[in-house]
Amino acid sequence: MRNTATIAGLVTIVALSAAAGVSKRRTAIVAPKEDVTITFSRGFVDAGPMTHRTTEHIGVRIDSRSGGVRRAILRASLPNVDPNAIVRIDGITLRALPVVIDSRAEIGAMTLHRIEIEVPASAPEGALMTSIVWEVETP
Amino acid sequence: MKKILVLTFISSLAVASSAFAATSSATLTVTATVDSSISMTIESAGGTTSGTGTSAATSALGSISKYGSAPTGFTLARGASNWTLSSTVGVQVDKANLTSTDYTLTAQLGSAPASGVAWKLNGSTLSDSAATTLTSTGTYGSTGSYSWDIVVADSAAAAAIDNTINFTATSN
Repeated sequence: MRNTATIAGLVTIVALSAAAGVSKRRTAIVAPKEDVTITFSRGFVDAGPMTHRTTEHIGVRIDSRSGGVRRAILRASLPNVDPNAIVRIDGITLRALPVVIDSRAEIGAMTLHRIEIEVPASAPEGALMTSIVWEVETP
Repeated sequence: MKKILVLTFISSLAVASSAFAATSSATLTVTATVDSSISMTIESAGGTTSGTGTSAATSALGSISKYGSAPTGFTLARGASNWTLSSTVGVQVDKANLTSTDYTLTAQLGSAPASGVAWKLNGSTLSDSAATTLTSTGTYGSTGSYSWDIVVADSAAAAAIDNTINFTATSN
């Protein structure tokens, strides 16, 4: 009985010690905030003069400094939705909240995406500018 | 003891795995210039017509004669020295990104009409040298119907009378 109690006590101490080690480990292995990066094939997209609808292509490359993952989730959104323009990426309509463009985006490769801008007939003519926010998240 | 260490190791891996999740974002600016535009379609015409709903329709009247039958979609009126085939042409003009409220529509023949043959729209004789105004207050988005007459003199030679009517819409 005494032996059992001793063993139980040792187990508890070891378990606590192991948990403390995990806590230290967690602090040490947090990935850098910018471990993954997004780069575009061009700085901005100028679709030029358009009527009704136009399509452009943009290359998007995701890189990971740690190199620990090969796939990532790519999302996009329009922070400032313009009622006079519908923006789609690969056929997916963008909104204020991010939508998944590619749930298994390859890391380390430039992938082409199709940007489609559609303007309703009621929209006024003139300059159009919008910003697409791209987000990448590794598993 | 061994079990505890194994469990602790697995637990460490799980924590390490979730801690590696990383996010990043980037912004891409997209610009364009929206141009105003109009489009025109031929919605209807007499004869055996193809291409309605587009900007290049064709009407085939077949063989026509003063004492024969009127072609599909036409009426035939016989005069003392000529005869007239009458129908209508439906033209629709649509606009986009344009503040204009109406348009001007003109028509012109693609080539000189055969001798003794007159092509008329809305009562005005068309020529291949100058455009004829059909309306200067056309309404966007609705089909305008224009009377279409082909007047053939009895003295005209028996031959093909093929021609093309070119419509031009201009926003006001």
